[in-house]
Amino acid sequence: MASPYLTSLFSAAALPAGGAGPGARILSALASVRVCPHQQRRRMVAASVKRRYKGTARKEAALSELIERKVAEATEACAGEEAWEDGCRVAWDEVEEVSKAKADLRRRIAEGADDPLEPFCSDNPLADDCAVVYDDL
Amino acid sequence: MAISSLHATTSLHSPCTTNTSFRQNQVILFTTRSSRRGSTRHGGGGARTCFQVSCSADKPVVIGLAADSGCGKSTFMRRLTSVFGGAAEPPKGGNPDSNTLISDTTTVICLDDYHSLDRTGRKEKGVTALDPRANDFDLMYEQVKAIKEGKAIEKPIYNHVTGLLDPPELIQPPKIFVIEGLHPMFDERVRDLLDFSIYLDISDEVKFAWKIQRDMAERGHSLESIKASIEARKPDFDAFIDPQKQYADAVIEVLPTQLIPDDNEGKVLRVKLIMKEGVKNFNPVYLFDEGSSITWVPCGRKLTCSYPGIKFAYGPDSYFGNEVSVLEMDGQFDRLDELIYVESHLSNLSTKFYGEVTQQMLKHADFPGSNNGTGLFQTIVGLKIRDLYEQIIAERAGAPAEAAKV
Repeated sequence: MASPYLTSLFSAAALPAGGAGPGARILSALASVRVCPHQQRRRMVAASVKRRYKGTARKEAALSELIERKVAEATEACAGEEAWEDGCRVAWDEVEEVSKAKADLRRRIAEGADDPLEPFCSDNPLADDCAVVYDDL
Repeated sequence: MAISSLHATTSLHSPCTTNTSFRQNQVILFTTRSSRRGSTRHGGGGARTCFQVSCSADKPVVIGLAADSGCGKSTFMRRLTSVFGGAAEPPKGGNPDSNTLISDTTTVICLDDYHSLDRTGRKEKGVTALDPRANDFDLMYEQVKAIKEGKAIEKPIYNHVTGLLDPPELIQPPKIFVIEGLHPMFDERVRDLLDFSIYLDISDEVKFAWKIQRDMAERGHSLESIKASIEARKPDFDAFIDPQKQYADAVIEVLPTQLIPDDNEGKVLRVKLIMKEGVKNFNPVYLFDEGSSITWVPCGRKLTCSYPGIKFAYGPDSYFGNEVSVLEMDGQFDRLDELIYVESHLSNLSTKFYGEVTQQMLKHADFPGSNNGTGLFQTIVGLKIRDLYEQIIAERAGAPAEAAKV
């Protein structure tokens, strides 16, 4: 969530650098202002916004929807059966597979400095999946 | 003549393929026909009198890891690659859904890539991914054998998002090749290729607690669905996956704690490191006196621990008919000094300097299990693998010099 303070920071820095004059003056003026530590940290985070690629967002959504669907299918496949029949077991195994894939994707997004698609997109910037989608911070 | 350049080489008996991308000191005294690079269907097939000589770095040490937590992404793999240095990343520029991880020294592949049936195929046949009928063990054996001989392979990719088998990716032989998945020790031929094997044995209660933590936030999942998923997979798991633990050189068994009565949150864990005796290049870790039985509570006058404390046990045992040594830790670390205190009392850790285990644990303090036996034993096994690797490389370097003497 961008605070008004941060947006004004960006719009100020984005002023035409007709000569480094006005931009530099504003930045140096800002630098001389004492900001609270937590605000300072927020500024650092905003300045290095994490890139999110369309492919990752799409995968996340696809997996979430797949989990819901597979759980419903499995519950139905096993309804009214005593022992674990083939169809029932396979259905729950699919649930486990997609849950695992989703959990791994979540972990890669949360832990990595870059988007999981970064290695692919740095080589193929024009791929559809490599369109950049910013998250609101 | 060329004998002097044989110092960093492997055995002279196996045919080695030439590959322009390898760093090689090639001295060809007597060549045979060379096999096609990257061929997967035809194995080595060269004459035994080949004297082609190439760098020993081309012949990897192969490690097998049996785990049910998704390939190449488990905490264990990350700790292992960290011990060797460097971060493991997916191959650059290839299929973004590849399961493979590559670092400077290590390549980790996911055995799910050897599925013979994709998701639809398994549904039609009525087999789970745990079932051997869903996996191509012939291909697995051929490719692991090829890598072990220093050849590159075109390995298929199983895409977990789409559930399909994607076009193959090229894998070059690294220094250390890890195969991770559900069936690394299932096929006897593959088992014989492994220089070291590990099995991660998670008890049912802990598995349940972990899966709840993992999946509860997902729409569509509930306590019942998570429980049903574990129970439905259990018959196949017990029939096909569990029996592999008798073949493992090291088993990490994770159980609920005994320090807190009726604890079912799975937060405090009792972890056992079961190490097979008599394994080449592997000396089990011990506490105080090798071969005796010890129970040790480090918390006392010298060390203050917070609740529930730490308890260690060590002793010889028998595991599926094999002689083993078992090191067990129950409880968790709360502070750095607890960790270093424990490390200073363990022996045969294969560390290169005092405090290396602690340093590795701290380096990844954010990984799950960093405050209990799972992190500790995974780190120790990582160091043991490094030691094993160095011993094997030293052996290989020593062998040609002896052959030359003969």
